[in-house]
Amino acid sequence: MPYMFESLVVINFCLPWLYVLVFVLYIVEFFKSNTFLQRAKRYALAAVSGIHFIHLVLLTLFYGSLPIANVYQLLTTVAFTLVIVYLFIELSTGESSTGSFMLLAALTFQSISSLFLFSASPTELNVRSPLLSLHIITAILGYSSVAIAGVYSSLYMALFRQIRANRFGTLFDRLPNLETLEKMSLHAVRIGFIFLSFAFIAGVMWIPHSQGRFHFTDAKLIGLIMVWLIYGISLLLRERLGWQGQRMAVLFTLGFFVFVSFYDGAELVFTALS
Amino acid sequence: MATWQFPPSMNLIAVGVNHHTAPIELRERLAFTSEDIRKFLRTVCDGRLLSEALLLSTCNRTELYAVPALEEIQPAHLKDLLIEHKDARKVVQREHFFSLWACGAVKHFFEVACGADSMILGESQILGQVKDAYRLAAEEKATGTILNKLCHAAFSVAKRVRTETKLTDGAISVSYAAVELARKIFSDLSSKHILLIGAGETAELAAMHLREKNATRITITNRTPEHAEALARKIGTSNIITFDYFRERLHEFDIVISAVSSVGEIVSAHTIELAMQKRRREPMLILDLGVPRNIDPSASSLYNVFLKDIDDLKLITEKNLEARRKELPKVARIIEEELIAFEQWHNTLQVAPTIRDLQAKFEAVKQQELERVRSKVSPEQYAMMEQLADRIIKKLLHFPISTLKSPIDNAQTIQSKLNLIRHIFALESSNTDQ
Repeated sequence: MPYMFESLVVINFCLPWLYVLVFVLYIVEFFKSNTFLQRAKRYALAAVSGIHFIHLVLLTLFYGSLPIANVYQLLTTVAFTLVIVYLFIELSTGESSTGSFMLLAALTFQSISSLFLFSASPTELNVRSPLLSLHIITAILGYSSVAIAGVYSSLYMALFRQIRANRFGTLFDRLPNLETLEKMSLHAVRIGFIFLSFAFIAGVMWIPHSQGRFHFTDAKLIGLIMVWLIYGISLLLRERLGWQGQRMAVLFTLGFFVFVSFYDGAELVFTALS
Repeated sequence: MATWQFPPSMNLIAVGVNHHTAPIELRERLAFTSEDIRKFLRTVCDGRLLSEALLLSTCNRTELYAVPALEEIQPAHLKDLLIEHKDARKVVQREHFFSLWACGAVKHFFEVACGADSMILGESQILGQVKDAYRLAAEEKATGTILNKLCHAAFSVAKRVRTETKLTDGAISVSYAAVELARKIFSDLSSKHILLIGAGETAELAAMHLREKNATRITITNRTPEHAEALARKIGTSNIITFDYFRERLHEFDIVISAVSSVGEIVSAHTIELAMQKRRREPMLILDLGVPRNIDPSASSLYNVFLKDIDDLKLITEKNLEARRKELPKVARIIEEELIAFEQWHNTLQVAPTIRDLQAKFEAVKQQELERVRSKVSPEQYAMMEQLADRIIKKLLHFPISTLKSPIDNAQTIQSKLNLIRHIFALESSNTDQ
């Protein structure tokens, strides 16, 4: 395909800016509720997710494998999954006030991906291995759920504090109620835990076949185990001790930060050092 | 040739007392019941004093909107009518009234109907009261072309304000703010167990608002069981628990609303802590609407307990009121647009006599010319000629009539157009009926 690489470079450069644009639309609409903006932001997000999809297709065609061969390809895929899941939530529930926060997560992942996408080795991982592919795909779905749970839990904590402190401002007016935020994050954690369990099992099974390129002390694997443990313990505490509300929100948000630190942080440090 | 009189401009007068012009003691003296309103309208409209009249009387205002039958009728006469009807001469003076004419009266009526002139800005109850006032006036046959149109335009303003602005959004009463807060914590009130402690006015208002938001599992407790039963009947619940027993069952409730006056603390923090333990720390919203407070304030530090008192809820109402004030410029724009539309409609009323005269003139010419040939043609041919003449007249008059009805005209351009048409077609009638 002619100009494939050039197209990839252009879309890769534009995507973060497009997400910034959509994010601005969402944040402006959050503070100044407006029917026109409400419609415009949804169309804008749908259009940008379409461009993002083209980006992933081009990456797949250019490298000859799904865009999961290195961390930066993974991050753009996670960002896309996040946006699609969010769009589904918005279209099915009509609830769009959490969009700006979700987009902030997607924007962060996409920005990091766009910055380092072409500088990282495109064949860091042998994605032709079925076990590794299973590990990566379930990890993407798991981490997308982690991000969703993290965003909703953070919003829960923010609204919880606002109500406790009698600050009845924009967050109080615009965010969904505490029970809904808790339900959304809990669903995301439950789904995420299942995917992370598969990712964990497939990852551990694949390590002996990785020809020494990966081992049990790999930062990403440790991160995955930690997030998996945090979610597992959280669900257990909820089931056995009836934990809920802010305590659960803290644990879910912690899981999200562990994920961000071990993936983005570790890779950024690695890239900077190299 | 008789001189044609140009119809007078909008002859609408509004007089009244409201919270801007008179204190409550005076407003009370001029308050009209429905029966009073009917009697008043029968008196003023039957006496050929007023062509049309509408009397709006609420706890914050008594306002008369009238189209006088005689040019001599002034606002002072209408004020005297109201004062005398309520026999309030010694207490209420003309100075306590406002007086508005024509567009001023229309604008004020629009502001009243949409809640922009209400004491509690944006309250929606006033629209129902305006509709009731209109219904009474219509039933008494006291409304005509002007007031019918005015009322429907006012309903349209109120609808636009409700849909295009946020003037009516958000709770502005403490009891409604309590429900708004509950909906910010819980997603579905219909599945929540609610305990109402007290059966007074505040508890009743809160219960009514909860019912509006689909809350059905409401339990009532009160020191006087009869009052609890009466409230239970009003809100359609049969769940009543004895006052001495409710603390032991506190853990069953997700929302507790306490509105017992003059008794002080009735639920301690320790009682709430025990209840929270029993309900595995599931969130509990406790709304203390009592003065002095009924719930130990230290309970607010318990995990997953949201304890709010009247002062906390007032923060919500004040914030919402401020947000409503910010909507006033948008409301003013809507009122201005509707006011212009109303004025244009009124201007078109003034052209009706000329249109009638014009049609009559053409009809007369047609009849005159047809009469000349009646004996020379067969009845079938005559009928065809008559049809043809009708079609020609219709086409000839189409442009002058549509020009006269043009909505963009103001009073001055209409006057010049009417004079021109009447002069060109030599219209002699001086029909000024509207």
